[in-house]
Amino acid sequence: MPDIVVCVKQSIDIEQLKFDPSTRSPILAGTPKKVGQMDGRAVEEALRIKERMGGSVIALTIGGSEAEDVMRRAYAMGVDEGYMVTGPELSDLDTNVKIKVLAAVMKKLPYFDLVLCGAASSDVSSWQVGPGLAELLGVPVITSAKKLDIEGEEVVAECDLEKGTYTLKAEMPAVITITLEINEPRIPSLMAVLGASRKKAKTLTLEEIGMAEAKSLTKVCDISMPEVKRKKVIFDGSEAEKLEEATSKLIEALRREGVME
Amino acid sequence: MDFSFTKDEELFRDTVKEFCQKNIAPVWVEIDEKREIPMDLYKKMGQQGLFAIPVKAEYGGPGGTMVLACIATEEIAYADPSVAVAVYSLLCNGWPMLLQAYGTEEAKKEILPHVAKGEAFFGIATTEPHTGSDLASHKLIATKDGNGWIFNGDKLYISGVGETSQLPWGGGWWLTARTGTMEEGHRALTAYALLGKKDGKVLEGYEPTVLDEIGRGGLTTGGFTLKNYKLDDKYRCGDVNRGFYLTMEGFNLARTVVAAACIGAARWGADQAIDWFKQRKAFGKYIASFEGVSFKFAELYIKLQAAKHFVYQSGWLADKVYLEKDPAYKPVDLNVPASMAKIYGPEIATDIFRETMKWYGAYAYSKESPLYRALLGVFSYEIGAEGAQNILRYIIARDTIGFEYVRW
Repeated sequence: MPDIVVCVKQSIDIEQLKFDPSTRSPILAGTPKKVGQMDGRAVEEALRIKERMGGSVIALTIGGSEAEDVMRRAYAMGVDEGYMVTGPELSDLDTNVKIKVLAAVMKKLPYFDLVLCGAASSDVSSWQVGPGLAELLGVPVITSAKKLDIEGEEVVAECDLEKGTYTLKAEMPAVITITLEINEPRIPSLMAVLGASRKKAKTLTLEEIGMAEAKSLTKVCDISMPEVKRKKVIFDGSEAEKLEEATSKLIEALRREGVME
Repeated sequence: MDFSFTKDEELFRDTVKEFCQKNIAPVWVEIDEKREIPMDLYKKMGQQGLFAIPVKAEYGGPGGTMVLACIATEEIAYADPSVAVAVYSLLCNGWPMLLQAYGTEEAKKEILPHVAKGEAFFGIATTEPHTGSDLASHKLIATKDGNGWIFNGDKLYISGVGETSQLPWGGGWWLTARTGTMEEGHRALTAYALLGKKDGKVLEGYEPTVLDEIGRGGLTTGGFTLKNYKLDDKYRCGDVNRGFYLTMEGFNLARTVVAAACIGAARWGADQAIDWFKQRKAFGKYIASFEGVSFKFAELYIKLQAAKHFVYQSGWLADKVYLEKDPAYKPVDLNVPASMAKIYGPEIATDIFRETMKWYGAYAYSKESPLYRALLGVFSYEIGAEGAQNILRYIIARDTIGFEYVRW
């Protein structure tokens, strides 16, 4: 009966993010936030394991006022317990410090078998949290899992890595990062939403977990939309006799761009 | 004063949006075209808690509120702007709420859990072949027979006739029947929870007919004849001859969610217009740079927001009256807000679709564009389902100027 901790983050809803066309900067103010797509799947996977094998699921989040929304959603999905590290200073901290904060909370928990988190958040997308957390906790990590099982004392994950699909095993406790392919997260019913409002997550401050002096190592100087310029190359295949030559040129150009092998 | 939704309401809206975008938006045109809501959708919506929302858990409901029912209806209609699915769900929210308030324990415990699960329909049946708004001249009669009633007569233009026959448990309507003389008018009407089918069996003496309508294809409208149809007294709602007054309360609830459906569909229409404005150019400019277009859009947007305020004011008030039982509010307090919502919701929705279709031009007149399906759907409510627009104007005039000054 595994006890699972899931790290969940409220991310900018990328689908609704708009950019200022003159500065190419994202307009973050007023853009809705929601639980990151991979994080939502991590919660779902933890709940599915619990439904198969028993145990418990704890959700953990850090952040400003939005942390409560994350917890409300996690409770509505069905997690047993929630911890949130809150404080206005948290929204300015970089990923490195956030990993340390998550690890500090986990070290306070009596026991856990698995830590699940999204392989990357939907907005910052650093891909660092899982591996960083495993390092600080001194446990193995498997990244980018698209299938997950528990066999005895081991966790078995199927992962798409580089040029192939790998099946990897690790002894528990372990950290596993989750990709979009693993599942389709449940949409909480009205009954679950109303039930969740009666549950309250435990709130921790940086001081309470001994990290009052936490400082970011990096600073975001600028965020801008990548500029993709179209090359506007036309291969003329409008007449039958030109078609073969145009096709060869198109294939050659695609190979040059690395789109085809 | 607090203009914000609660955290529960916000989360619920998010979840309904996700559910609808996954399960309804991809199939709404097919629902309209095939003229049928898929059976598994009723079940999924029931599991999601989208029916009988304001009904308490002891009667099998999700234990929500009218405001939550409005949120659900608005988002369902955004995903299916032909409003077939939204109308099914709004009827199965508004009228179960009234049954919860005035039905007997036995009737509530028998019917409401099936409605909540999406196994049964529960709507409204008042209109008769010769008149709709004029309830005082309705003829369908209920005669006392031992511990029950025998019904004879016709109801027409009733939503959910086909669905009641198709759904596994069945369902029925909040129905008004004459229990006195014609001369006694509206003072001799009694309300009942009348079932056409229950436990999978069509009841004796109930003969349904389905009509062919121009829009809102996924949901049936029809009628039924009752011939010596027998019903136990446990299905009577409220006192004998009080049916008119209770039904008017029910219309306030239903009109609130009707307007919620219309603003959901209208919001979808407005989004279609905005999308179009961002791509369509004429005379070298985006079409919205012509003020004849953008100012018209702005005017419609103002009215849409006003309609939204009426909907949620009315929903909030319904919760005060029927769920919180706050003594500061009475059922009649809903008359004006619910009427304003029901006037503005459908009218702004048809205005938005009509104008959006003009902005789209010829494409909108082809069947390739889905806009006409939405226009025909919301238009049913401007024509008058759930209260003719002029009856609602009369209610507002009566309750603000005074009955004696507006008397016919």
